[in-house]
Amino acid sequence: MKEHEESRLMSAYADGELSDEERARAETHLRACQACRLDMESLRYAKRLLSGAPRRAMPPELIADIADRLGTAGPPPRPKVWGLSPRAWFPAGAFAAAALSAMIWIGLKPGAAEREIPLELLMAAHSRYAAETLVSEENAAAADYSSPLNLHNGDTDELELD
Amino acid sequence: MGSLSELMARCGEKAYNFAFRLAGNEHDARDLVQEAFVRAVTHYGGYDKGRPFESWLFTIMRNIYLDEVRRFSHGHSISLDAPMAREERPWEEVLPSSELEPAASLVQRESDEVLQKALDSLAVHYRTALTLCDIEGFSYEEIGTIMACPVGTVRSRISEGRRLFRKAYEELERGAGRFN
Repeated sequence: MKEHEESRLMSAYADGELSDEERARAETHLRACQACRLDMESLRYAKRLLSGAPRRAMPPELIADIADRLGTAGPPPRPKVWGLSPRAWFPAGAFAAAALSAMIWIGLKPGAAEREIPLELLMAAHSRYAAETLVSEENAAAADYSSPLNLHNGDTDELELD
Repeated sequence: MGSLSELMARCGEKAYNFAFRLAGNEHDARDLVQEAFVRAVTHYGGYDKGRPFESWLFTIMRNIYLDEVRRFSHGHSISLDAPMAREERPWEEVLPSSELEPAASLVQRESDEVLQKALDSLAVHYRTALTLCDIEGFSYEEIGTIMACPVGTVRSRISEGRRLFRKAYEELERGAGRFN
């Protein structure tokens, strides 16, 4: 097939992804070029085959597997802080980790608790694990990361703040 | 955003379908979806809330898959363009709402296997672009975001991908004695 500048536009034309100017150019060319009309039909045939492909069903246990993985993910290893004693520092995310672990332990079946935790809280807890910088022990109470999670579970005892 | 259950209900099926068409088998698709959701949760802080979550999730899946393909290709004497090994998939994987007669179901299953084989024969960039466009219905702009490439590149990959796919599909059908 002879290369045409407009042949590059055929697939995009079939998908409605051309600008007005490009579409007008493609339509003008299609009226005049049989080779590109045949190419267009071939592209449309491929598109029909693919868009008609049956949907693959997600295995129902996959959500439980994901919830289990999220539930068993723990806080990252404590990073080294040069020149400072590790005992003087306390990871604030431990509160969130404890809250999440408690919820998983309370759950009726593996994964059930984490599946129903509001995602914002679940994500926030895990984000704290990933982004955690160590907090000095005296300031640990002020790291109120786990408070929203605890409140969600009906724990009204809030951390005392300085 | 709701709970994990709600999130899975909203985009889990689409994510799994994309993963299956990309990876070509159930085992790898499950791993891909699982890893993507876990990463999405653990890296939620990096999620741009102005962007559809689905688009971000698909970007993660595509990146995970590419990383695995590159890692595998480095340890084995194959190229990224090599056809993938496939395993037989039971018909139960298709949505149970199908009401086809058994004979028609068999024909559709065989046709789907040919379709997947044709997809598997494509280089990963073509396979990704076609799956996102023709199977999952993303726009070119969304595909460009997911694949981290300009829209012009998306056009080229879809255009060439469809030509290669059709050629592979027809060759496979001819081999099966079904294409005239």
